[in-house]
Amino acid sequence: MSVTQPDKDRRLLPRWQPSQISIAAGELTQIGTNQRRKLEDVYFEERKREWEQTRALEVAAELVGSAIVLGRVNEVEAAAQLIADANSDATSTLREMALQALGITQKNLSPTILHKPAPDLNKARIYAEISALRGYLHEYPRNILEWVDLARLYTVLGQNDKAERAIKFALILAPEDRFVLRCAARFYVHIGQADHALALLQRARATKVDPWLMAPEISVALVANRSSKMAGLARKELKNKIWSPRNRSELEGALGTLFLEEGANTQARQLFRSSLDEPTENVLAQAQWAVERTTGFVIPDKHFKLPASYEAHALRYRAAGKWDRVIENCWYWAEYEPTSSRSMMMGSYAASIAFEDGPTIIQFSSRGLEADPRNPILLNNKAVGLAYKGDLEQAWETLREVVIEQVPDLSQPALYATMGLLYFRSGDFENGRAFYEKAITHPYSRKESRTRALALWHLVREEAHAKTKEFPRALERAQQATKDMKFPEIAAIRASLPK
Amino acid sequence: MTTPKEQLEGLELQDGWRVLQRLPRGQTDTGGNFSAGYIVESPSGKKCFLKAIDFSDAMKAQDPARALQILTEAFNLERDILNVSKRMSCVVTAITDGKVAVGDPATVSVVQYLILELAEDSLRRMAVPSKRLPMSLALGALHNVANGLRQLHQQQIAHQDTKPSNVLKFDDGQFKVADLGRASIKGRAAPHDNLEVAGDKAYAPPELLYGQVDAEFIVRRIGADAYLLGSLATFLIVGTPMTALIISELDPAARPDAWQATYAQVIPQVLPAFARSIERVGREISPDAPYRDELLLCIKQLCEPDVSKRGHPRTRAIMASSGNIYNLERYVAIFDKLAFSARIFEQRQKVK
Repeated sequence: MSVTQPDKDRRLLPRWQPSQISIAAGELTQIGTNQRRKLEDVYFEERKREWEQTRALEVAAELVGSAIVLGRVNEVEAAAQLIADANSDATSTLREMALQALGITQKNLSPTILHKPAPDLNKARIYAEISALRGYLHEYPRNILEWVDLARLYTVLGQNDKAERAIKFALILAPEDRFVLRCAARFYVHIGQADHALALLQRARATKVDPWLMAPEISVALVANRSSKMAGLARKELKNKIWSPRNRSELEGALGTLFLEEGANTQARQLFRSSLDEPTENVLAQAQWAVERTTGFVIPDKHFKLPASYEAHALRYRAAGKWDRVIENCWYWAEYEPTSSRSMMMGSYAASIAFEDGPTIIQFSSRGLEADPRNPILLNNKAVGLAYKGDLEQAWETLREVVIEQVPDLSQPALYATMGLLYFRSGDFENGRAFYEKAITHPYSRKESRTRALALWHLVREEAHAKTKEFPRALERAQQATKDMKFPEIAAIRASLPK
Repeated sequence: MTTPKEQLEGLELQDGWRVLQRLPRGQTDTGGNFSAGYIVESPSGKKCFLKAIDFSDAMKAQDPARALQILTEAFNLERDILNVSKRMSCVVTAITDGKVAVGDPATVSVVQYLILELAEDSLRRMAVPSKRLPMSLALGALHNVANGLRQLHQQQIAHQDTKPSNVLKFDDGQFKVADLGRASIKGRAAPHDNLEVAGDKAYAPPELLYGQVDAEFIVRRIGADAYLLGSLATFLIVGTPMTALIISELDPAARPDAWQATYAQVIPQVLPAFARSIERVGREISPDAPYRDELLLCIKQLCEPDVSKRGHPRTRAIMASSGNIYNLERYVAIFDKLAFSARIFEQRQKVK
């Protein structure tokens, strides 16, 4: 076969976005026990009176400055307008501030990708950003958000050693900071050190009180195949309903995933439903993932209007068998979350299953390999893309970079099937069948029926392409084995068979 | 209806002082809600500034006894501080104080007053956007203000309300720090001690706006003075204090009026906002100006949002174990040097 099923075990790990995007998304807003501060000031009232009397620019400047500090900009519109006037004597900074107070200029911090993403990673832009950040950090070495941003850019380029140095620096400066801990956990999972990520989260005192840290602790524990220390406390605190829907959303999604894995479907459904009260796009994607793994849980359409919910859309279109839309959303998702290779895996998967589109598979997997050069699934997918394109020599070379016996069990059937594909396309049908058989009978395929179904149907496709006598038997076998299965991939492969 | 403190015009005070003219509120700049300003003349013909405080104003308060106590304590504190500051060259000093009876015999009220040096102008009126202050003059003012604050700090006094309207220019060209109504002396209770921000919130350091009030006098009050000096420098360059710049750079959810967690938790967001503010200030200074980098560095050090890292690094290192880590002595010298450099730069620009 070609590629491994993506997102079989999706975990609700934090998205690693630039700090300014995370701030705008409210992910850094702390849960405090303090009351909102009432910033009253006698000077403000005096300035308002003076402004009414004088209408002078200097008074306007002082009044608008006060209003920004006190959070009362809605009371000083006329003063802000005077400063913002292009003919005023105000400095450009003062004018910018006034325009901001008037709500005319706002930083564009929307996470939505407005341009159509290009398949190639814009390395020149990333290097320029790194250079600017390094200069900035030389000047402001204690600014932890920028250390994390720097680590993110290095991760996008696959320079994990440099990324780790930057992350460690941020952790030294702020070992209890939510943003640092979430991104550090995401990074260590990315480089295959889930145990270390879990230790970081479990060591932090903040994790015991912050739902935004409890959530990754539960998810990372699942990745590391370890017990969560927070799951019990999280359940208790969720029952107390002390957090706002936004603050509990990710925790409910993470806990719902844990329950789903444990087979407690009713509790999982309840949590997923509740997580959608005010979800992030990441929580929405997790809920969409859960839809396919439980019954009686439907996500209302309104949620899919969330900005940047590319992954959720890709998962939804995949379930509906709309493969072209899956590919489209995967490109946007890749642009939105360039540190993760999952978008590239799913994009190449969709291009393979429905279209046997070699160039697109190669584009997705090559981009994924930039950040994660030794990822066996991406290497496997690239080999598949090259085979579909007819470049068998390169395909064999790519696949040789993977030692099948050393990769996790769940990826092995796909790699054996890809061996089968390459033999088939090389004209060696006997070896091709043998390797497909290895994929079909692999212990993992025996317990995971979808993996087995994919291997069976990919064999059918190769027999059909090669126009062998074995085709009817392979088809009969695959149909028999999957007759009760609801799996959109089967319909897609069937539709791609030569008439 | 006029209050007793507003009825001093034309009166003769003790020691032969004559009250000439009441100053309208905007024109006096310094002062609080319970005071009125006048121009007075000494028997020798020297004109001075009179600040009149009317204790009967306290009777209009909801809790008159408490208001009277606060007013009395504030007046006594300011008078005592002014007495201490008499030998300070860069702080507006008190010439004398006294009381005067106002009104008819049936409704007589006593107005207490302070007579202070009369300034020519205030930095607030001088540094208006339409006539930008030359940098040589602005840096000269900063040199004087740094010196005035240093002189106060040596006597364990924190000013806590340094802003353009509280910096006055005298006819000899010298600038002085004025209005000690919000000042505190170490070890002595002040009526505004309970306020998180003693002075004007628009100029206040961010830690105080977020409610991080250190128990240490030096950190809480002298540290705030260091910030206010840097914020004043920002005002002279940009036209607005550093506080407004930082807060305008913050996400609305992280601003003091919305933030519900601690200051330590918001610092990771305040630091980049501060860095962007410094960048904005830098854009307002000519790239050719020889003082540009050092002036920006001074502002960066003085307005540092992390109060433990505020001030000159060398001073902090030397004074870490004892004394005032925010000692402004280095800035007195630096601003003087920069003012000189700015003068030469401006002369060269004129020749060109």
